[in-house]
Amino acid sequence: MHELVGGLAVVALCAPLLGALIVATTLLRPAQSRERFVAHVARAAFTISVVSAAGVLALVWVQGERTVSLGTWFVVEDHQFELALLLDRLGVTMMALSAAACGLIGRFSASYLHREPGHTRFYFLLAIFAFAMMLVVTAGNLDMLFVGWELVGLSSALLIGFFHERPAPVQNGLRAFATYRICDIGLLVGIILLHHHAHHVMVSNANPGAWSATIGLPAEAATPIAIGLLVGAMGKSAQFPVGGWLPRAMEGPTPSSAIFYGALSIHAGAFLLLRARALLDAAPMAAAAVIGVGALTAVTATLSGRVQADVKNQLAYAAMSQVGLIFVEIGLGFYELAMWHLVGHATLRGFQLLRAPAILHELHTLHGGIGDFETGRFYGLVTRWFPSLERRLYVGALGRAGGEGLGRALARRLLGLAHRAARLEATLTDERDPQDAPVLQEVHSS
Amino acid sequence: MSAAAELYEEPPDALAKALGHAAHLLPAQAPLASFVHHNTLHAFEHLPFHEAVREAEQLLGGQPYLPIGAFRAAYARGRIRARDVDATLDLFLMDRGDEPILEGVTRRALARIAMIHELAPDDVAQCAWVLAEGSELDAFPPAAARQPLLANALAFLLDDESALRDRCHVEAAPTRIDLPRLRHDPEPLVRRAYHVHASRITVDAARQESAAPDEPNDPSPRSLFFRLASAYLDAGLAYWAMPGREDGFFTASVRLLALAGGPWESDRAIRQRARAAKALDGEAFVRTCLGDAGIQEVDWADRILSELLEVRGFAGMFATLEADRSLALTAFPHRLVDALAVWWLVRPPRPRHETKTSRRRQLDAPRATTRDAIALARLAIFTGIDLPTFVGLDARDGRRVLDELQAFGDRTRRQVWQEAYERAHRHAVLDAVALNDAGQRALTPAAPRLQVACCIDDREESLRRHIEEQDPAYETIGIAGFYGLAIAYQGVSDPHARPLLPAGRKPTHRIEEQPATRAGGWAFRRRWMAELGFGGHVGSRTLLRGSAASMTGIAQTVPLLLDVFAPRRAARLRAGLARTALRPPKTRLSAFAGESAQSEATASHDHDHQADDALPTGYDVEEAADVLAGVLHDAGVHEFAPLFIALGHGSTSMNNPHEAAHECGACSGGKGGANARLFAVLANDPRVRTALAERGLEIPEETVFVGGIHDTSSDAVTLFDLDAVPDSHAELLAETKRVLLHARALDAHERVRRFDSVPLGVSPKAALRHVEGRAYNLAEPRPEYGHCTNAICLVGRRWLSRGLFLDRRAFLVSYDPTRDPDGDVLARVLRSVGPVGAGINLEYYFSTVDQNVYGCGTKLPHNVNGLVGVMNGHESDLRTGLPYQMVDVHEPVRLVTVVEATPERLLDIAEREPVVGRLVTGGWIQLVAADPESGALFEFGPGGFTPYTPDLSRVSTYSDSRACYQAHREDRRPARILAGLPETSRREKEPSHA
Repeated sequence: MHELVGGLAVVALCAPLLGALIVATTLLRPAQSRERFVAHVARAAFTISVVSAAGVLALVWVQGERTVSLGTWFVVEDHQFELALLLDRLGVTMMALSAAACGLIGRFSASYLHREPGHTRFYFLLAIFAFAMMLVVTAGNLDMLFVGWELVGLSSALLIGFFHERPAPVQNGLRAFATYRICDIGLLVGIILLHHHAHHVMVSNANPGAWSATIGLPAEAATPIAIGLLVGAMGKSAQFPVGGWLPRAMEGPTPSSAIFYGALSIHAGAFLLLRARALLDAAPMAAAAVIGVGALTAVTATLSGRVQADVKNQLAYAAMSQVGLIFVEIGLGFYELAMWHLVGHATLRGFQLLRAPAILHELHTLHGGIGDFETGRFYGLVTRWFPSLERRLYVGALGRAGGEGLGRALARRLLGLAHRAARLEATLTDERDPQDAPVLQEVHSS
Repeated sequence: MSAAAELYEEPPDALAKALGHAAHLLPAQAPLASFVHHNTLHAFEHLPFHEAVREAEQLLGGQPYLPIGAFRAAYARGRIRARDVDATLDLFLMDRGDEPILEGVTRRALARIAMIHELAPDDVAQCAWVLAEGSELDAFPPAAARQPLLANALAFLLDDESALRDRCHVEAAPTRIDLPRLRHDPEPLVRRAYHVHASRITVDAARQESAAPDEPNDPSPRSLFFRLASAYLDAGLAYWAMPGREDGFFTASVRLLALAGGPWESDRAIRQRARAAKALDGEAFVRTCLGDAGIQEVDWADRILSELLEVRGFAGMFATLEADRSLALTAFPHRLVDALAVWWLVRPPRPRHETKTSRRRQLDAPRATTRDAIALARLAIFTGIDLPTFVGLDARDGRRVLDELQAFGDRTRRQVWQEAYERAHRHAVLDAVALNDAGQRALTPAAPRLQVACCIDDREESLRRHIEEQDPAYETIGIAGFYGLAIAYQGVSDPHARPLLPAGRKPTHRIEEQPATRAGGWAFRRRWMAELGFGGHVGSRTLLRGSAASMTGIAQTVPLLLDVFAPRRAARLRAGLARTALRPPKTRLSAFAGESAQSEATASHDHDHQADDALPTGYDVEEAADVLAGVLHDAGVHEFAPLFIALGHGSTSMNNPHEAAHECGACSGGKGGANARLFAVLANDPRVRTALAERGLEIPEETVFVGGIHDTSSDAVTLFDLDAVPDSHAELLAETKRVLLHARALDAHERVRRFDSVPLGVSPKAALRHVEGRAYNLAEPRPEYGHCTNAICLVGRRWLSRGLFLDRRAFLVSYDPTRDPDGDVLARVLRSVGPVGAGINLEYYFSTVDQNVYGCGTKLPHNVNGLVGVMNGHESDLRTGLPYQMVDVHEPVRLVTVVEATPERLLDIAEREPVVGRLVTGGWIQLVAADPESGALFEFGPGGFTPYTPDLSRVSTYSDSRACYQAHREDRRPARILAGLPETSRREKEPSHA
């Protein structure tokens, strides 16, 4: 049975990857004949993936958690880079969720992206994302997770910039990508420290449910690692103060917004923390930091969400605030609750974003039943009792309680750094001062 | 700010005028829920079409026609014929066509080549490719002319080997020329010779080319303006509304911008300006800005327009709502001057008007020269000028040809192409009309057993055909879908009354749908359900309630899977559940004055449409008789079948912000079912019948009217008030239901051939199932194709259009010229139909030819904003016009309007009715007169009406519609259909196609 589970997991993981490669080769064919073929390939890949993931899910829940070793990548003295899948309940649940969500979006997009010039590119990125996301959730160690993690970020940024003939999607895609990359420094540092402390990242069945390397570290070792992972998680999950990219990410086709920022990618950070819970258990300081970040995000995001007058931004902030809450739950050690919250929220928000364009229709129906809409009750009370506070509250919400300004200031610093680096490079390579980087400037000003 | 006081002394008119000018030119799109099609370039309608589109290109930056490549592709697939190109070119060049430009090459030949062939590519890489790899000698001229051309050239080149090096610009001349090989494949060398000489005689060709307008490159102020404007316009999407909206956009914005902490945090200047402007109102602030920037009063109009065009979507919304308050979704003031003031608050006007040319991309001279040289060489090859002659040309000749090409530039070529494109289509229509007319004249129409009135809408053309093809005794009638009833209507489930009449007209009556039985329980349950729904909507987005919703979010899997994998079943399940839970009562209309019981109560919470409260509820008998007599008389209905079905239409679709654009255009983007229902109720009333008889319109006692609605998306047909149909008609009613059910299945069948996701061989039943699912499919950005194929309008007796297959492309308006001695009816009909038909047609035209400036681009990233409009993704201006998914199979041609009237009568009406006159003389529609007596056709052109001689041999005849459209996805040419015509005709003409 051991081989069966492992085999199924590998099939579930690799079917989208193979699909992506086939889809990519069709780019050599003329555009008109491509659409149907691409849709077929995607459907086949996702179906195989969903069925296998469901099998893995059933087997693991029935027969228990396990680690599947796929061999060793390389060994350097006593450091060993192992290829392994960690199939615990958390991982396989997330895997099944990812496979199902990608399959669903694949099906949805077949008609939604009909005749879209970027149809093939969309499916390629979606399949890459499916592979990457499943790799993240089943990775047997942090090194493998990092591979998936980066591919998730890349496909996310490329889909935000899907309509690259307009400047705004490209700028916003770059902003997301830059945020990811910077926060990934934290993740990298975490990985290096973990290697340093654990010496080798052995995978064993002794402690399913967590990477064995993360278990049993002393607090002074665990804390910096956990903080590093937290920084990485903040980027992907759009937490305060680096979450400004999330509403701006609503630039791609609706289904991609739904799967990335409603369902899966936005929860990758929360998943990483759940996965590293052994570290959090060992490092109360880091757990406190997780609570702080989550709570701040939840409050600022829900505040901001309340004043958004368009459906996608509204949903982006709503997602951000719930993920903040999930962070809080994780920090407090309610892992089961967080898990439940995560899966439910992914379903709810993904669905909401998917039908975001139907909002006019839906609200019109409700409107008929209750007449005019009321404004928020709490807000109503505030405005009645403290009329002077009303505008301040509103303005603060528009500015994400300072998050906007903070994000902008960060962006400016980074931009300065990038320019300095570019100048340095120019002097070193003896080229004239690059007056390019217009895209960077635009990111800053947006 | 000291200038403010002085500027107040200025006559108030100048600013108002400038703003009025801008308001006129800004996009005039209402909030999406009341989407009404209108001519996108309505503001330019005083100009002839071709002038207007160029003027608009200058001012708004939108393309005038399709790109030239689209026309060339249409030419290649035979959609445009060579004779269409020749004829339109002759018409365009007139007597200048025969003037020689070079020896043996006339201006006409030159222009023709320039149209059909791409002479010089647009970019450097393509130019290089042409020079290196071009194959113009392979492709053209035809083989017969090619051999001598090549042989001649080769002989000429080899004649003088020393010159060869120079003529072909060969770096190192071959010491020994490989003659056998050269004779085998002389093409590259010859081509090179042409290009080398062409580049020698091309000098100094630096000339201006306009590039696409750049997106304004400072997004920050725009972004801020968009946030404020969408918060202000929001009609219930944001949970916390913008404070202080009752004081207007400018005042509310100033108060916010003066505070710290917003997204404008880093821009201190904005905060300071806002603090300084606190005491001013919008108008005063605008005047101050004008003064501070030193803009002269004469420049105000231009300057204000160009400033507002940078935020045209939102500015247009303010202007539209200011012009017609009844469109507004909120009670707050909407003023264009406020929008301008806020715009200038976040981005002050620059002191000097920076000319647009500074931002334009200038083509560098060498590149323009390269392109010119390529054009010259290819032109020589295409016109068949042989090499010796070509080499004899000098720079003056080159200049002359290039000047000629310049004068007959891209836009002009496209204009001629557009005319040719339209000509081919128009003549296909006229040929079919003529053939059908000839066939019909031999027949006598059968007395109708069933009459079905539909909207004039092009989407009802197929439904009508499929009804009539079932039996010669079924007759259909085309009446504008509001049935002459200018009402503000409030259904039992509507929060407010909404106008159901053509845009621009005022409602005369208020009609309510009321529960026929006591429905207290229903009202309670409905409110309770809606509260629950709204609570879920808001709650799922907030923090704490949201977390509860999220933790139970797994339950959403069920509707999610159903919606994606079984949309039709999901929709049915939802409808069934709602019915079971709500048990809606039977309803009736408050059709007559004094019969309404509870209008006071419902009217009281209707604050948005205060004007409606003043309207009388229900018609009185005389008014009703007037309206009905007018409608029936105008449509030429004087004979009545025992059963008369009046169908309105509407459209239901999910996940589609542009849903209202698919609804009935004659009902201001509402569902026309209420009008049809009211029409039937009024017409069934014995008092109204008596009053109608007094007006000379006898409706037999046995005739029963039934109202209904046709959903053009799901093809559902619903009939109202069937319990009012007497038992004597039970059998006929049952037959009618069968007929309608069959017709709707065939209608669905005819529609699905356009959808790539449906195989062509599908059965009508499966087609119906498909469209029922499609309407509710979240994943479907094209729930229906709407007016996407509209191109034709026929005004006349049905008997003449019956038997025509018009492929859902035609507005069919019933009108009887034999009962209209002085043309008053026709004038009335054209006055109302002309602008509606042309409005729909031209909106589709412009949204197709420029999908970004006139249309709203692809739907995929659209984001519904404040229930008012859509924007692209995270944040952008409001996008107006139609999305790509609504126009992707549209052929942008101006409406071919065939009217059964004499040319004199039409000219007379064009003179009497300025609205019609502008459309006709400006060429915004293609008008054709069909003489009611003889059936002769006359096309209207620049020189007035000219007779058209149809070519009947080009028209196919089919046994029924299905035979005509089956197995085709593309547009079908108009054809003749024999099904449903009396037997006599069928024997006369056997189908020429199986």
